Amino acid sequence: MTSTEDRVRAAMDAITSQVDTAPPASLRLPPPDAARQRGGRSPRRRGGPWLAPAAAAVAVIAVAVTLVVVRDTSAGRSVTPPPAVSAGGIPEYYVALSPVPQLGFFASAADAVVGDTFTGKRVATVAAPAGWGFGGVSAAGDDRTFVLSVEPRSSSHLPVPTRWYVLRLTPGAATSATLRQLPIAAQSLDAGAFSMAVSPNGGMLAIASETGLSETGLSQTELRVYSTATGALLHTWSASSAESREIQPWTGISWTSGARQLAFQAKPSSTGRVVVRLLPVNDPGHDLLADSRPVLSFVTSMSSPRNCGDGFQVTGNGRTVLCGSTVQLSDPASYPDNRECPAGTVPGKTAIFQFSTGTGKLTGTLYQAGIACQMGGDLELLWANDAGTAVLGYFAHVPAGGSAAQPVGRLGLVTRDKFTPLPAPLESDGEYPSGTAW
Amino acid sequence: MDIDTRRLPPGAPEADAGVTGLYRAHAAGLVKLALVMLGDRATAEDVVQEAFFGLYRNWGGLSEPAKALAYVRGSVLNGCRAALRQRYRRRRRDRAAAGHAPAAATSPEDAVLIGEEHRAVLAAVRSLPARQREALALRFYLGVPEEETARAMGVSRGTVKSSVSRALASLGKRLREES
Repeated sequence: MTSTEDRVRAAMDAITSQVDTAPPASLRLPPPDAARQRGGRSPRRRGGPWLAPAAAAVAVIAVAVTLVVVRDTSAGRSVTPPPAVSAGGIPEYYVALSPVPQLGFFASAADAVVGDTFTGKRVATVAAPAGWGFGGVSAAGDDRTFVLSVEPRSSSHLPVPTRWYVLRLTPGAATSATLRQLPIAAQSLDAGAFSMAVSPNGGMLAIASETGLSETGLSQTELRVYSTATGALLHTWSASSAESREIQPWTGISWTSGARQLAFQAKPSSTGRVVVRLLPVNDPGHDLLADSRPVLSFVTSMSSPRNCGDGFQVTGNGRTVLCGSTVQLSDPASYPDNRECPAGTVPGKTAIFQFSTGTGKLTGTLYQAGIACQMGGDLELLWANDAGTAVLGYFAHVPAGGSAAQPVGRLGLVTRDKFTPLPAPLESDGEYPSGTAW
Repeated sequence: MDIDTRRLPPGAPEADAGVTGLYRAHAAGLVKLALVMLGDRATAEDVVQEAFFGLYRNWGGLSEPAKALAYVRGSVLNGCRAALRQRYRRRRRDRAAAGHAPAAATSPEDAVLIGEEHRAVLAAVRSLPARQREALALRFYLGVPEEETARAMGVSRGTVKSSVSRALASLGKRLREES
């Protein structure tokens, strides 16, 4: 039987064979003056500027309406309502989109599945409104409140209208979930890239997006904060087109410092480093760069000792950046089992480091896996407690003698020097939790 | 062809020579990359042209001109993402104009004479999340070294590896299901 690899190579060969026989048209460089103009366009330019793949544009309707509640009573939950957050502060529930949206292609999910973090059981299933689908989900800090973006599953005129709904859990003998539309005023954003984060108490929703995408490639990055109770727009920040290339809040924003700051990342092209920035939400000002401050920068190369290449989380108390890092051994030959490492893997160390947002300095190591043959870690930080001492994360490695094509991945609770495996989320990409929020 | 590694303003003869030389050496490969990502040659060539135009425009400001190829690879990936977004938006606009009726499913490969098997595989590739698709095209198909792939994608080497692995696992499952 032909392997998947062979089939993919053959198909790619087929589609690219046209290039082999006819080289691309020769390069037409612009006159020097045109090239020096900021934002000068190529004569053949048809596409827009750089955009991160994401799910939808933003528009919202005002009236909150209770919609759909679908209960799954098969889970047989405890009669006693659990505390708002389980012992140890680890969220008991998560919401996963089903099926997992393929964000690069903007597909939305028909259902939101509520799962139990510790048992892996399905608690409830909530269907999207008829004709609409879920595009993303964000969790508040009470283990009961989740905000979901909802967009049309079928055709729609542009800009794509995206609505915002709140899913609330009511634990009991049979935990139920209700879905209500948030009263956030409608807005029209033409580009699809966005990220959202509901504040820990569920009172505010931050939406970062790129707006104004047009055939001329003009765009602007915006970050808006709304009241989920009234729908009022509380604050807006933006960045110009040129700056937008360096500010990437739509790749992920998070609340910190008791909902007084928002964390996001920037990637200045001049340095090649990723910079974590904090933005005070109560201060005046509307400039994403000028009004935020850098707290940590790093390179993602595996040769860097603390590269944060596996992602970061700013803790809820705003004092710490947790940094997932996989580092390749500088002298692999010194690793006794190196000769057993499968092709495509390297002996390396994966760790979660703690950095101070005050000084940018390393303050500790929450967890460090032993040296092993691995694909370079594949660590994802999915949730962290306020103090940064407990993390829900996904960690994959390749056992010595195993296959690089089949890494062993587990969701787990990471505490000081300890990884406790947890059941895989109900809806996941293999074992990897995708489109899931705690 | 090696390119001049000195900092040069756009319009300088050395910038012309450096960018043009890089284009001659790598444009075909980059068009292949864009073609795998987009499925349509005209758009792929546009994206590559635009990436080299950007390189030319920023030649004088490159912190490490020796890494110009990595810069232009990253630009091609960004251009592909933007083109996919525009295509998606156009598709939705067209469907809206047609009275909300579902449009016939067409793919860019429809304009190219390739077999059904390849068409199915490419459709499966294009259904992958963007990061997996990019890693697959760069590492698995074009053979771009891991470190350079990571730099072009703006991710760690580990992410490149895991993305390729997940992509192949996902494709294997999907293609088995469809066969």
